[in-house]
Amino acid sequence: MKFFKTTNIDFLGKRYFAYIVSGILFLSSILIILIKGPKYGIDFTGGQIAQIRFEKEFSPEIIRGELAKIGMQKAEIQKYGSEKDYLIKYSEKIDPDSLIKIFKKNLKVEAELERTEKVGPRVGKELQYKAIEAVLIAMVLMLIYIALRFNLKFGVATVLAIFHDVIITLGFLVLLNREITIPVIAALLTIVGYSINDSIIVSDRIRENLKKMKGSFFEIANKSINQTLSRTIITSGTTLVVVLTLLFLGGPILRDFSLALAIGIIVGTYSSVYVVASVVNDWQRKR
Amino acid sequence: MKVLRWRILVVVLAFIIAILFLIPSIQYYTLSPSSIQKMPKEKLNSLRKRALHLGLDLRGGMHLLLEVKGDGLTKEKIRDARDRVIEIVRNRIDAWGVFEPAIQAIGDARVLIQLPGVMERERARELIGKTAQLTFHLVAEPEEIQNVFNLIEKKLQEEIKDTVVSPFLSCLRYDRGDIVVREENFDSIQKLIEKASSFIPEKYTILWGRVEERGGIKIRPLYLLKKIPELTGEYISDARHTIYQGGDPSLQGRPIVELSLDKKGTIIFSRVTEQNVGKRLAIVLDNIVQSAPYIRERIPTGNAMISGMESMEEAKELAIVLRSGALPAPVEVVEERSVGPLLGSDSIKNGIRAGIIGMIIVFLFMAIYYLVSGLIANFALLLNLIFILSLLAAFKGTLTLPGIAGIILVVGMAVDANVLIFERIREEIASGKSIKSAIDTGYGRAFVTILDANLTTIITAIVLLWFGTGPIRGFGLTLSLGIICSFFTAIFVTKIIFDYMVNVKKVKKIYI
Repeated sequence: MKFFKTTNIDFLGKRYFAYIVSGILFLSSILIILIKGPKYGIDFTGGQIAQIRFEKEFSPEIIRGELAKIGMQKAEIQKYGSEKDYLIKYSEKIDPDSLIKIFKKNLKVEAELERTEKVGPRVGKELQYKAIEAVLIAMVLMLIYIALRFNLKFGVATVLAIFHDVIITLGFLVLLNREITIPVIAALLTIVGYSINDSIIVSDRIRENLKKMKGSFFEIANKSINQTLSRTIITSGTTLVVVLTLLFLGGPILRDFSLALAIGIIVGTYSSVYVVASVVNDWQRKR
Repeated sequence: MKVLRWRILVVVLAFIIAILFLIPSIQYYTLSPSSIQKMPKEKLNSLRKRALHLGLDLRGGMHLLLEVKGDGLTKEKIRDARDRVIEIVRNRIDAWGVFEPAIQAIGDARVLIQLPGVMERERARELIGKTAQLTFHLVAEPEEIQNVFNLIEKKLQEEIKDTVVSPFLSCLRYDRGDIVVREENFDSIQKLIEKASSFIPEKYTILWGRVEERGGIKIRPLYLLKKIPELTGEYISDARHTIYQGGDPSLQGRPIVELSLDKKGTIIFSRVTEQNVGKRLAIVLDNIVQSAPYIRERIPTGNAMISGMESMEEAKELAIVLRSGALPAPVEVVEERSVGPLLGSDSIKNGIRAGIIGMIIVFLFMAIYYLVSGLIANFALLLNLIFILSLLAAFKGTLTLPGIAGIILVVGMAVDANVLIFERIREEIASGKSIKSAIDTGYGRAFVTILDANLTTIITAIVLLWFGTGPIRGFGLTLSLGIICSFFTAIFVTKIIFDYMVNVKKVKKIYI
């Protein structure tokens, strides 16, 4: 079976269109991140999380009301899977055990603490730096690696593409009001590796073809992207499929993580087809 | 085909070793609750040790990050204090009886503690964080107390500029020889004492007792003590929890902790009790007065007793912390995470379900799209999963929920190697090459590409291992293991099968 007979799509010819699409996505992501601002998880801000399972269903309003009675108006309440499971995020110095006691007494219901997290403000700050550091280190390592294996132009173009992927993924997450947590950062790091993986396959084929084919960089790059197209689609497809099963069936804890991965895979695949070779092409022409 | 035989042997051997490493895990995780009870404890523990380790997020438990508060201490001193904290905390936890706790230093001042299966968060926090500074102070004589308290009252009145209102003394009551404060006034009195602290004569210190209920009212005793302790916890040689059976009717049947002092401590204690018969000696733990019994006679034996515990459990914990010694510096819990066992098993179920469904889709796709070759790739993928789990078990890696996600991601990503190879073989066949040479070129050309592409994933996985805490490290771990194993399974193993088909079975057409 084959999805594609030999394709001959003029990817590079449409590069200006791709630049515009990428530019718009990139800039609006930056704007969303700057204006709306990312919602950070307690990993980075410090604070507490209590995941509680009630015996019966309750509406969020009731939970909110109970919390307001003890002065926790600012607590964030989130349904977690069902109306029995709630995630409460707060910054007060109240132990989750006392929350459970209050719910049990006032709502007359059995309640159980499923998960707690407490992060001190200083640790949060440190994790913030560490996360940014990790993403930057990963990108620099990629730049070095590709610059060594290919050349600086491919290196810079690829890192540009990853930066574009990470920012757009982040933009989507902020737009969708997802929380930036350590697992989400891990997903972003994975995207860095994954998106580059795709770009390398394409670049590798370009390099191989440059040696044995005659023609301009433009033609050879186009041909190479077409040759690797079915592989790109299949691998991205299988990876996306497993990430989507994680997203829908993997349980609430992994949801933001899988969502970040899913967005990243889509954006990363697009950029490895449309962005990397185009940038190298235009850079080469200027010289 | 001699070479082919060797290659097959390598794969079979690797497979057998992998299965051997997995057997304890299979045995352990398929045990029924009743057979766990029947099994001898040592056998169960040894099996548990060899089985795949599940992270706290999957098996439930508690994770604590402690920080040593060493303001003004040098780096060296803080590091020493940290090591001492690790040692003491380990002793305390061992005495408490947690199975396989993990305690490790993080940086200069931090200690990471992982307690699998521990759900009693408050108790764990107390047991670990208690500095356990035990000191014995003489309680000031009644007239001294009166003088000092009057002085405080006077100074506070001057401050408030109202000589009529009694801000301090009016809140104090006498109750059975103690000066007590109602619990609801505790905060305000504490603030007044802090305010007046500069007027309290140097030789004294004011400390609170424990919250008690007397006649249905919650109160807290307030003590004026001699600042310099008569004796400290470093002279304790042993501490045991037990039930009081002595002569005091008010303590009858209550849990207590018996202390034995060492030689030097016995001498000091004997002298102090001899010189202060009739006075009270306060036993102070972490700046809270546990009890303040009257000294009735000289105690030459070096035995002392602490009362005032609510339960036997509390007495046991106090005995543990006193035995293991005082923490060299106060510690603060800067991060705490806990997961209940039910959520953990839910997570496992969700993870496995997502994994199986994802895998089925990928398997079906590969089989339909690449036919026989797809089945070969699927076989390689299954082998890969076995290798990942077995390497985790062999090297005592920990499987976490993100780790399961990593394995699932590997399912999607590891087929990439085979997709690259198969696509290449298809191209070579299309360009008119023979099957044999198409396979050889396909593998040869694709190998470099696969190496290049997968190395970047491994680099990010390593960054993840460095960046991540707990669960996320598990993700980096399974992801990198999966990618590394896929070199072996997706390239080496599948090539053997193709070579076997072409060279031995002399197949003329490959379904790809």
